[in-house]
Amino acid sequence: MNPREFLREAEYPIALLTTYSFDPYFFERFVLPDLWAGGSNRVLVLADRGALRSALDSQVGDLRHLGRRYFLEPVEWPGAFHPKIFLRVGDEGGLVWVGSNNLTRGGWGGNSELASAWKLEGDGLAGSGWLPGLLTYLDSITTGLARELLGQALRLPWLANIPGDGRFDVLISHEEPIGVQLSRRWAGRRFTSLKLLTGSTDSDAGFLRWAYQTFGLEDIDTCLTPESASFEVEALDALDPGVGIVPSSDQKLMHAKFYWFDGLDGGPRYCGALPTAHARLGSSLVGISKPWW
Amino acid sequence: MDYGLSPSAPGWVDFAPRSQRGLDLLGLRLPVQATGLSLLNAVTTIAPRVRYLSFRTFIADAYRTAPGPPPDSRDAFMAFALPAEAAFALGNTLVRPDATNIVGIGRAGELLESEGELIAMERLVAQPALNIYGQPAESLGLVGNPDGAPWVGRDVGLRLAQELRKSWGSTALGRRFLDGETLDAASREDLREFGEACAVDELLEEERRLLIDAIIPESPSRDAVERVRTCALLLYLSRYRDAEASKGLVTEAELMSAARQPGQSFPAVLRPALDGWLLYQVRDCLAVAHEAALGEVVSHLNSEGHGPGGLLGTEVVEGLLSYGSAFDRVWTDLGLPGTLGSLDDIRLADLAEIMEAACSDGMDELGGLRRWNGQFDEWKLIQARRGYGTGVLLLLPLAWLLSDLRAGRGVREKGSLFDGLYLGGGSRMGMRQVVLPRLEQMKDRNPTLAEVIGELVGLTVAQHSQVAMSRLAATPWKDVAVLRVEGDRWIGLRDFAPGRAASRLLEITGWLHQLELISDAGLTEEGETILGRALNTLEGTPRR
Repeated sequence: MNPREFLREAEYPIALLTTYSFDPYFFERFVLPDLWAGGSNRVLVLADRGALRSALDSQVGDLRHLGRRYFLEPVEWPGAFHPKIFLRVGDEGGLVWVGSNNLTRGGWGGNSELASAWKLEGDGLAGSGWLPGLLTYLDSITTGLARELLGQALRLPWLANIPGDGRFDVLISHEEPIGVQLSRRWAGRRFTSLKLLTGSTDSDAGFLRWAYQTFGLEDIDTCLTPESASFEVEALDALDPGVGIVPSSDQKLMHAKFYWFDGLDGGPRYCGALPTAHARLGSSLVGISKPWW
Repeated sequence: MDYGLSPSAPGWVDFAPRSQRGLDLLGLRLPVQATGLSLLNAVTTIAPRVRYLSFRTFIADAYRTAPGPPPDSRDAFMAFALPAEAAFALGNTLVRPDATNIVGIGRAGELLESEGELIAMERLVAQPALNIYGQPAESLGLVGNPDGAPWVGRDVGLRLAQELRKSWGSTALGRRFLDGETLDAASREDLREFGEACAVDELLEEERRLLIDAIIPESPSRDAVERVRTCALLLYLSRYRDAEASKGLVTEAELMSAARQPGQSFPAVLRPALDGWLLYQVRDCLAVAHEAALGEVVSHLNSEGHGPGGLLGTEVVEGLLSYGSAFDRVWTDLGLPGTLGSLDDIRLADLAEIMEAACSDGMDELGGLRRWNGQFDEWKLIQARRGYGTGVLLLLPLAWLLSDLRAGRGVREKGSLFDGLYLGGGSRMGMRQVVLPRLEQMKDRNPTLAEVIGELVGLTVAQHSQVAMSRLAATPWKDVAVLRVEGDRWIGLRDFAPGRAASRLLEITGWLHQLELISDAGLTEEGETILGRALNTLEGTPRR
């Protein structure tokens, strides 16, 4: 998955990018020129307010394009604003990228990151029911020129062709926690094992406990970069299924989020921006869930 | 990329740049080099032998005057000139097997080990001397036209070419070059004859005079004035140095020391060079301090036990600052009073006060630039960049405060003398854009020394990150980053050897020596004449 190629795909004049971490210098030197090459001249970045403040505080170089060639909107969100969705849209359709990668150098392959990208157009709009809701939500939290840009996206005629059948390829948590949505989607299904990749963890193993209690897991393997784990040993010991911690063998920092539930009922996979932190489960998540993979 | 109409299985994100070594990974050497170039153009660190300037001129002349005429194409010129360069190296290797700085001597030696009488003329090195000495020869006006086949400069270049024609052109190989022949092979005898004529460590008398005229011209162009001034300064220093006590030629350290001296003991026309090299030290010192700090950070990140997840930036700083004795050692060796003690106990204002005291003896100020007696100065900090482990982090606040002491007033008053200190702006930690404003902010807060160092280390890391990213944006297949910042974590990627920009004073001193203007005993008789001429020239030449 090459984000540069994704950004250079022509011709999608509007780009809406959500991220937790944002590196403005990287964005201006790297991401923005690729967006321009792909014809995206109306660009809005939405980033977590806290992470953004920290990034701007440590900024030492000149920012040349902020406010002129792109808008940057801090998003206040309980917990954290954590989605990484890169949406590029035009009159005929759009391209979407959902992954674990932020708008930082690490997100561009400096870390181990996973993502998926697909087209939104023509007959391929089934499962896109999440999109109008996301745009409307973002519209509700922005102001001024950023909001105007979102308005332009919302008025694109093809959005009206998205079937209203409730099929969402992407789960977004602004109205309801992802955990609740997954429980409903996979209601009644039982899995024996969970294999997951993650970039960070909670300390009390709340996410793993939730997964175990909801789906009846028998064992859990977690692959991560050890320095990024915050698990308390007692919390892991208290879990009934064995929890295997597998240090990532990659030389890169593991930042991917991938969840493979397996068992007699098949193996739904989930990937996206969901860290294994139960505290965030209800507040800040986005992910793709495709049981038919 | 092919995109489906629904999410596919996720893939690993990458755009596959390769990790490669790079230079100037903080981008802070560049303004140092630019400052140095404004004081001494035409001299490069990879061009130590003046005779190659003659060779470059001879071969350009041979090509331009060959029957034909040959095409005005750089490729055609190089096809002709590279075998000639091989002949130059082979000839020199035959007659001076122990000579140094002959480009391609290694391969030349191998070729000469073969038994045949005829030696094939092949390209000996990836970076030929014709390229290495091309820019110096052009800056000196000996040759021109960097885009096509070079032409010979009208004045000194032409006279030099005529002189070389008489000497080198009288050899068998020289004649073949002047006939425009592209050499396939040459006999040992012919190579030896050519090598005797163009021996790299000898100059013809007239050739030497012409090279002096090119390097220290009597009527310098606008670009050459400051070079003449620096050369005059080196000659002047050679005149007055104590040859008994100081072995060898005048050194970079001596020139830098002269530049820091208070008072007016030098001719007024040399003052701009002294000022220039003093400001050079200010910028050099800042660059050295930050590179040394980056080196310590990378070394800490890459040390055993720190994996791909890196460490929190705060942990790195804490780890680096935990070696208290290393800081004490730097403090003592720099000659600062008393002992440093805990970095948490001393505040920025205390340090500033100590430094002001250390720099107060005989202080004079001219045009916003300060000089003082004593041993605490930029040079001392620059020398302390090695051998102190994490102690070098102390150089950061010292270099920042010293830059303010030395040139803060001039920078604030925006004197044109100080332009070099903010060259490159905020992205190169210019004094006006970054150093002084941040220093002011810090002075208002008056943090502990540990906090100051932490902040400056963070700035160093951010600076590297941005420079590496800028390079990556320009060449997306090449990643020179030695570390990466991921949120509040710093991740080591590869090793890093801190260093320092070369001032090229060593090289110009070598040139002056080869031109017989200076020697181990000081200024030569001819050096005296050229010094007098240069001082007269500068008297009548406005500063650039």
